[in-house]
Amino acid sequence: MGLIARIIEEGGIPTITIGSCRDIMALVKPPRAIFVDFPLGHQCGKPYDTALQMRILKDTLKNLVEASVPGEIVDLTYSWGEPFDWESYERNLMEMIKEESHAPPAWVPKK
Amino acid sequence: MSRIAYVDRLNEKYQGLGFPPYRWSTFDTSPWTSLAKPLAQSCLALISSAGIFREDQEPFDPWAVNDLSFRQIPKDTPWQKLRLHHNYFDHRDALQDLNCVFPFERLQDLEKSGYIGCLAPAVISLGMGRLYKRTELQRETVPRILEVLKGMGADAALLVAA
Repeated sequence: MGLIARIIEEGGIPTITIGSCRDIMALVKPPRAIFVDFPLGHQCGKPYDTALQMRILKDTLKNLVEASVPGEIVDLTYSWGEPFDWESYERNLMEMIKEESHAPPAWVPKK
Repeated sequence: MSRIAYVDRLNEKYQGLGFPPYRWSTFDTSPWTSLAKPLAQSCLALISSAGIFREDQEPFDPWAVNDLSFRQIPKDTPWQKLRLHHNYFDHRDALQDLNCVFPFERLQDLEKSGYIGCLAPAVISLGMGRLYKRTELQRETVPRILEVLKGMGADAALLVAA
């Protein structure tokens, strides 16, 4: 998405990107970026927490107006409230796939 | 601090499986366009990569590889007609409340309250999945997205990275 944001910005439309992969955003440098330190799948908040979703969105739009440093990432300080890490990401993904019975297709390197 | 080092973990995982190192896109600088009008007068477009489409549109492949297509979802689409096909993140909460990844209702709230001038007539929605064709994305897909944005009179775009 950072790549897309860059080209849209170059094309004359200002952009702001919300993401939860801070290190990837730091490499790609979308013009304006908001980091939400939540597990993937929750970049805009928790389910049914309308107030939190609205705060994240307003913080983001505020930055669209106020940002002045191209490529800067603004870190929102909302806390997920429970520990999460790469291992829990992979575990949850496997659990979801099992629950929905969607076995992933084989993904192997080309010889 | 729960910040996950996605780049390192993805590199470890896929190189461990025998894939060549992924060439991450990196830049030292960023382009810049200033917002021309106050937010309350601006038309804001939503762009999502969470694999969301309207039920009568061509579905995204939840295991997409190099899907450079996008759907235009009219902003008056009822919730019940939206679908999410994306298996590279845990989408179970998003299926309960799409606003977790797709702040459609919240943007409609902001439009109603006058916080933004308007929400652009259609949401731009991508699936992408694992993406190796970045040149094609940049040279073909995004210029088409830009054309749609300009056609809709978008003054700014909010991108949510899935």
